Amino acid sequence: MKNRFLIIPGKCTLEKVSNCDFLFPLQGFCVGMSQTFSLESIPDCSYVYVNCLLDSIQIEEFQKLLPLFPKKVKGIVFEDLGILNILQENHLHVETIFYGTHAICSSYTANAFLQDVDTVILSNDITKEEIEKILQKVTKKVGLYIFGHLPYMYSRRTLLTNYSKHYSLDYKNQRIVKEQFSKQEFLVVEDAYGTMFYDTRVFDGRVFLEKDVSYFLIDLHLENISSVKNFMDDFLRGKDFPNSTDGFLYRKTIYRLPPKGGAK
Amino acid sequence: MIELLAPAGDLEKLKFALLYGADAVYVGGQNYSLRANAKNFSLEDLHEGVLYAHLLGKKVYVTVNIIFHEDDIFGLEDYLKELDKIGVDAIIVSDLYVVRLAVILGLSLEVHLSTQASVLNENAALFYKEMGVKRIVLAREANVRDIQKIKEKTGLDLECFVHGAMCTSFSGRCVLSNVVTNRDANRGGCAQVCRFTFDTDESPCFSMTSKDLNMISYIEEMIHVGVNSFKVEGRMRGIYYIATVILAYRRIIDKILTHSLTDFDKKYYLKVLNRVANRESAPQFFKELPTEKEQYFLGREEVSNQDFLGLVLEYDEKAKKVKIEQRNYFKIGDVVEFFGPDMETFSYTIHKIENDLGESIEVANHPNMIVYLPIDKPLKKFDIMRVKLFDKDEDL
Repeated sequence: MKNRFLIIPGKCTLEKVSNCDFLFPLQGFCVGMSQTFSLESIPDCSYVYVNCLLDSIQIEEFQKLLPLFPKKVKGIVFEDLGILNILQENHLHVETIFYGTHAICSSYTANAFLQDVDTVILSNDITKEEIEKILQKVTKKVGLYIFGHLPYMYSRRTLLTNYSKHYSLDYKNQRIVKEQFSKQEFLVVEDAYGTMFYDTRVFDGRVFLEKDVSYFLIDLHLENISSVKNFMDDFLRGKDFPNSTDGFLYRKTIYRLPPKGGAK
Repeated sequence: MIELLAPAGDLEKLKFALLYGADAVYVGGQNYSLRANAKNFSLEDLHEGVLYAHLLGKKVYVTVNIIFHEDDIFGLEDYLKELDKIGVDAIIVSDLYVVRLAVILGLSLEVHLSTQASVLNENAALFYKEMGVKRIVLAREANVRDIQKIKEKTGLDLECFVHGAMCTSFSGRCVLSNVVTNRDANRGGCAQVCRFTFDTDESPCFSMTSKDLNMISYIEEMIHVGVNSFKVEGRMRGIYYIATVILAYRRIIDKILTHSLTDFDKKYYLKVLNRVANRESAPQFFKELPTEKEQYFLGREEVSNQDFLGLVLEYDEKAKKVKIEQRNYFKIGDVVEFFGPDMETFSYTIHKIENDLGESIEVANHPNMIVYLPIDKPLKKFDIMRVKLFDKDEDL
């Protein structure tokens, strides 16, 4: 079966594109998205996205949407496992796609989740070699994030509001901040939920396009494109995207520092 | 069950934490723990620590809370079995694979879900309860309502951080360290990039450093809404910090449980905690979302604390002399105070100092030097001498 694409739309027309489904960030249940959608406003039988942890009020609000699920929701990509519990308790048969932020870095973890969900999206801070090993060992197909501004951190704090209030500056969302030593830039996006840090460059993971996966996730919400169809044509034809990054695909992280005085 | 849970970076800290009133400690082994660059515990250390704790009727939990990569799994199963054999009371885990593995292995130790999983609602808690988790360390972002709802709907043991450093991000949802320093935050290498400063297109630097957490004024309410375990952060902290913080929370909890807590106690221990901290603190998310007042704007703003003057090694009842290992400079004429787990804090003016040759000296100015002070009140090994903080009867 051909791989399918899940596309988080940007500010563009939502035209039907072959082999693609839109993934709609759900209003009131996301952080750091430039646009979100109410369940009423999206087409029937859609995929919806909940990219953050939900507190006890939000989880109650989420449960109020359940009557609309059979009609509106074909599948859900989610971070909070409370959603899975609710879907199971209510016997709602929607496709469950767990995308825990930085949560799935091994086939063991993936398989642990795959006992309860239909598929998972692998973490985006692991190497290409690690991804390839995982793909060989998972018990069901898993998904890969292959395009978009990599999300690196999210907070419940409204960090841009706090910054502007502290210094009495005019409030400005979507600020670019640059870490002083590494010069690494981040795009900071804030909303009522909190704050998300993204890479300012787009991640290009097309190196995986031939892999047999459940879904390729493409995040266009910060992209300035007018047509998803044109974008996908360019994407699949191998067009170069300026200011792109391969993220951690070829960059293995460490976690133990060498002993003082240098590595031995 | 109400439990005071302390961090312990090594065996010495474990003993101090338990002596100063912790009911349990959490420690990291040499693998699979989120403080990869701390000293941590070998299996032999763990064995000794567990024996020590169990002799006191207390518990030891071991963090196995990294997010595992493919190559990290090797040895995990044997390690978990070994922890079980040693008698560790619980493991604190965040990776679902470890939860399932612990259950499959039929270990007798409990599985506690780490705050790295950032549970905020009752449904997420129920998911993990089904998996076999006995206790959840809630997200630091959980507020009083979240805690109450989770308790009501799950009946699970709930553990909440009450004191110490905060991440800016949800725990486990941050790889800024990976990006900026190549150190994997979710495997114990976090470089705390959220305490760095950032340039923007406007002149003031952007910073997001959180002030610390301090819940001493809310312990009673936390008990009321169902929190079972009160957790202090700080496996990298020293014995003075651990002794001071743990003793403050021990006294507060005991007074709550015996209905003898006064406003004076609350103010006094808040002042003690503020003094020992190297950052300002706040209740953070418990009542409402934090604002700009709960964070710093110039990156790290920390002060070192030199209140810890000496550690009591022994007390000579006959000679009425206390043997002290120096930790910070003190001299004749200084007004200091002694505190310990089994005594009321009292102040003392130093009028004589002897070195280990019995010679009178004016100052104790060498780290770890051994000195003797004449003192009538009996002291015990592991009591602590510190700078006099403030009078108990002064206006707090």
